[in-house]
Amino acid sequence: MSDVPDRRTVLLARIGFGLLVVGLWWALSAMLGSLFLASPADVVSSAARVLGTGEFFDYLLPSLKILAIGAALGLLVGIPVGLLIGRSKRLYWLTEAPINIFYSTPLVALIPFLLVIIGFNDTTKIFIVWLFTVLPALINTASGVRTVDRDLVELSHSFCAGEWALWRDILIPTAVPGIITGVRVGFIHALTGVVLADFYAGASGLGYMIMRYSNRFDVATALVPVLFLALVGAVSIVVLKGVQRRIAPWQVVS
Amino acid sequence: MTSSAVAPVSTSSAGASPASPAAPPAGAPLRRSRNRLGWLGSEPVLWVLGLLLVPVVWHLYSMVNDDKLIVGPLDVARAFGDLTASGELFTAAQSSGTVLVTGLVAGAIPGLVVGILVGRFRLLDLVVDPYINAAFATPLVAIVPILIVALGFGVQAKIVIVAMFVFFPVAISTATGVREVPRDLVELARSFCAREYTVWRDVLIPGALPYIVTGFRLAIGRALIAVVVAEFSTSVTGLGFMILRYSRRFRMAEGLVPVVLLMIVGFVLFWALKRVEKRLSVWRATP
Amino acid sequence: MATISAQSVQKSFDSLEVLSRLDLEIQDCEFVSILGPSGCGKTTLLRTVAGLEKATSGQILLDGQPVTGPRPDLTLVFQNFRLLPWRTVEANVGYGLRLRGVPKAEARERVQQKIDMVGLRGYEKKYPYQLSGGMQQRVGLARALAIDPKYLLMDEPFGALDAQTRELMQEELLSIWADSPKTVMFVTHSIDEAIVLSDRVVVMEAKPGRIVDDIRIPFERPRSAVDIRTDPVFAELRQHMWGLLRHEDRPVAAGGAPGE
Repeated sequence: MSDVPDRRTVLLARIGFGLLVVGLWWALSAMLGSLFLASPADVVSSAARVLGTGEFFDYLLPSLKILAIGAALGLLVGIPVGLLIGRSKRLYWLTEAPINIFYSTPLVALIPFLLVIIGFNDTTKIFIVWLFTVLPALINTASGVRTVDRDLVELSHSFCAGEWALWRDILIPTAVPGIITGVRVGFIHALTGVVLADFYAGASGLGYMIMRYSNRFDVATALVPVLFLALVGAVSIVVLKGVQRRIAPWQVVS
Repeated sequence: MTSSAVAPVSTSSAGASPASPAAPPAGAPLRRSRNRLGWLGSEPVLWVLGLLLVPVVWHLYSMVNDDKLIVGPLDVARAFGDLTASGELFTAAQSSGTVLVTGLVAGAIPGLVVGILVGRFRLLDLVVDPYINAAFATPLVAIVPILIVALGFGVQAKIVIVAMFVFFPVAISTATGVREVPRDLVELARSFCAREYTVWRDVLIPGALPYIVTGFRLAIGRALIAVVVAEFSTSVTGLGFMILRYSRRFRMAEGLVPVVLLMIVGFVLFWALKRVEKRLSVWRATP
Repeated sequence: MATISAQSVQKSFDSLEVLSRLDLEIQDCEFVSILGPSGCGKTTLLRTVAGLEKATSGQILLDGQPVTGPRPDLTLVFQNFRLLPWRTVEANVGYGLRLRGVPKAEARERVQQKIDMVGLRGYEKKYPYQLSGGMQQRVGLARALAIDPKYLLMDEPFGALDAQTRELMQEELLSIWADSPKTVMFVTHSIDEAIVLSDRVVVMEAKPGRIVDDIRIPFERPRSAVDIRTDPVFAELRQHMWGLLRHEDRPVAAGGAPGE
């Protein structure tokens, strides 16, 4: 019954697969030419250059600032509102339609209007990131609260617990996994938001770096921030899943 | 917090039909929500009120705000009529729709195949999983300018972008679904001398189907984003370009028409797939 | 003829020996229970006979033919039912028939007959989650019987049921078997169940799994479980097996067989 391979085999196979991907990338770039796909070597040397001159950080810092403020505001609004919506059945039904409409709308489509109304500035950028973060945070938090076991609520009431005690002992612990999922998904959306904000709302940040070098046909340099963003996304997922396991060990993390 | 007291049930109902097929769980709650609002407090009524909330608030705001850039829903409705009559909206929607559907198919088919393989074969799953998750977490929009450099401003670039956005949610959901099918049932099928393809037909695909539909639901949302992003950056056609053109000329009402259309399309598809998901999950004790 | 013959079957998982050169003969239309503590390899033996596991050495012969994999004339009933949750009762019962390509009309008739036999008329369109454990196992039984197998292998089929349902199901199994006898291999850890149902009870010991006794049960068929339980011979047999098993009743390794 040893159909689960041991850790070493898995690790080696993973590394092997990674090398295979890089190898394919290399072969493909050699076939297509550097205009279509820069080779891994070109990307590495470009990365060394922009990191060495510090140019990369000139692009990174503005994006970080926007990301931090926008995502924080998104979570600060999304999580509490999500808690309320998850708790109150009436509020849930009232907000169900508008939330789902906005959640299933491509919010990018609103960016041109934000530019016209607010302007090409950091406020627009922060607003874009906020917009991308708030709904996933809210929805996941609300559905976390809604998974509460009615029997436990009943139990709590049978001990004459007030609303506050109910939140502390039952609702918040139930909601924790949902909240963390909300943070995780919200953060991923926020990353997309930052890139889009940089694309359209002002000449700064990693998104702008991608735009700028693509327009100059310097694909190798344009790929540096892309790979960086991939790394950030992957690492943040691993970290947040770890946190989720830590805080809510009774829940299965998918 | 003043709340209605019934603890919500864990049904994730975006379908919001008044006659929910899910039976109410047994065991009466201690505090039942007293309907102080009368029929106004009933679920379907609240849902419709919520639906009307956005246009009403928007309308009131546009009335009190004198800024010419803040247009109201009625202005947008008028523009919607004009653009529909002139055929401009239809042409743009057709162009975007073609990209959306083609890209969806082009991304979903490999997504399904990869998802099924990954879900079925444990070693492949273990090897590929971190890479797929990393790719899923990457803001794919970041690659769009580079893809356009590589593929040009034509339709292919747009289709590739949409397909890329669609691939990951479909692959990940499908793999999750196949993985969730108990191995016991696969063994049961084997004990009845089932062949590999009948195992797929009777056990793995039906078991994974609700997840596959979820994957498509997520994929459609992302595909709509991809279409708009692609059209912002590449084309001289489509809904995205229409938004860009009118908003740059400060013709906000006309510019918002495609946005409203995208909202309607997105919501209707989302809602429809939620219903399908629910239908396909009737066999689950707790959806 | 439907005979089962295990010839010096040995089975190891990694370095752990689960079955140690085990020999067992089961005659045509004989009902044999395999009784033993958790971890004695009784389930592994059953799975090897079913062709779901391969013996490390030795072989299993069904009607003289070596087992190489699952066979169309053998079915299993599992402790955890293993119903397809997305199929209704009738579709679950008809699962084996569908795989064998039995024509629809004929399949429907046979399914209905088995559903009636296990007393589930009126539940044809229900999904498994809507049924109690006992009803789910009736579906599992009907599914196994629907293909009219020569061999019926049951792996603690009533282990997940409450005591009352369990006795009811035993009674029904007795009457079903009386109507159409088959070669049955029945794995259990309940002494009562083994005596009430079987023609022979094979008692196993753990570490490594081997047979310590093979006891003929003298009660006439058709039987009534209630009558048997009050028979003095029953108490005697029970005492004897209890002694065998108690001798075995040392702390068993953690993570024993399911349902223990």
